[in-house]
Amino acid sequence: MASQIDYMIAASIFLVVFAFTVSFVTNYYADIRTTVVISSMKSQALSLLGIADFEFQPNSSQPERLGLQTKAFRFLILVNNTQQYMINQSDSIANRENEQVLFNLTTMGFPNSNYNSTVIYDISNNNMVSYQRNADLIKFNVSINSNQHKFFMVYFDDDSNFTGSSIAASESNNLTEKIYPVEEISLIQWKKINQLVQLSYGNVKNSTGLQYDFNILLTDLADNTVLEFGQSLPSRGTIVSVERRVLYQNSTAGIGTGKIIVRVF
Amino acid sequence: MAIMFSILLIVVVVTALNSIVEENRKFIAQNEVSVICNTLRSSIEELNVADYASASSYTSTAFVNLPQKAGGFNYRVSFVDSSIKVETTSQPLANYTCKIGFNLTYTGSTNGGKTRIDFTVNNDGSKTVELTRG
Repeated sequence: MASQIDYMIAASIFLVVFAFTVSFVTNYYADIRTTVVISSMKSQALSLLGIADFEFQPNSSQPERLGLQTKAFRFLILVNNTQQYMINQSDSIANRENEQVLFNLTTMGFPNSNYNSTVIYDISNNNMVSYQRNADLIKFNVSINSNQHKFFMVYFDDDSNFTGSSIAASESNNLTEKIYPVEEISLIQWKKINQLVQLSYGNVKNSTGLQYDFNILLTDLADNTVLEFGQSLPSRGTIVSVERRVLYQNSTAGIGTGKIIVRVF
Repeated sequence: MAIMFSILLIVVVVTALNSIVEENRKFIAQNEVSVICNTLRSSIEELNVADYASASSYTSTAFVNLPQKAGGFNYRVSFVDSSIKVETTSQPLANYTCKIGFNLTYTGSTNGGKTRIDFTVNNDGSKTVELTRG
């Protein structure tokens, strides 16, 4: 016959084993929960990173998807101060302080461009070049030594909303410039950045149906903030962060390389 | 008396563990359906990015290996308007809807496993997404 002591010993052993089992099972599932949540947050973060690939829905204050992408265009201009590029072949080569370069976006096949979005970079130093604009006709001056050549990269957009700036260019035109074919590029548009930051985070989270809170940060390569949208990061907790390089348009239509960082928490 | 006591202990153990397991299965299922939803949405997005101008219609296809079950439960994926809805087909119900947001025609469904996504760009520029068990 089992005594009361035997029952108590059996019950004690049971309680120890039971407590151990519950603890083990609970820890096991806690680990799985953490892994599953991180996996879920990661899938949302990667999905949100596509913000650089898609456009906003037009005129929507409650977009079903986030997107900042736009198509823009660029082409190269070669200014070559050698004999074969002289307009008047009987002229001799000389250093030129204000050689005029001009191009017309309409005759190049882009009659409906936003001409004010045009920016020109001197490839040799990556400095922006001032230009004179008259509707679709754009002129700028180049300082170039004899037997020297320079490349310029021109960017322009077809659906932005910049206001123009124009600086008179001289009419001294002695060289024939070589204009390379126009190529289409994807970049993050300044207009869309402004549209996004004007939206309410709560509305956007609801309308996009996103499960977790998020923060989207666009910085230049020196880590200066160009855009930040979303919730402030929590001081503790799991945060999934993903990033990628992007081209973006700044407030003066300048083109920069930056990175977009999406954090989900 | 001893047998009654043993049965009582067994019932306590089974009930406690069952409760923990069920609660976690539901939690995991809820998160898994959101992962499945985001995976499908990303696949459709990738196909939509890759379209190009063409005089004749063309179809791009992607295959996605989805899990057979979400948190141990069978599930079904379907389209609701321009959203993907993933829901388990047995209790406890877990479901998640993720918005795609593209103005396309969406058809088809799947219940996990190897899934085929056909993205068709028609002559008139309209686009169709079809989801099938592949």
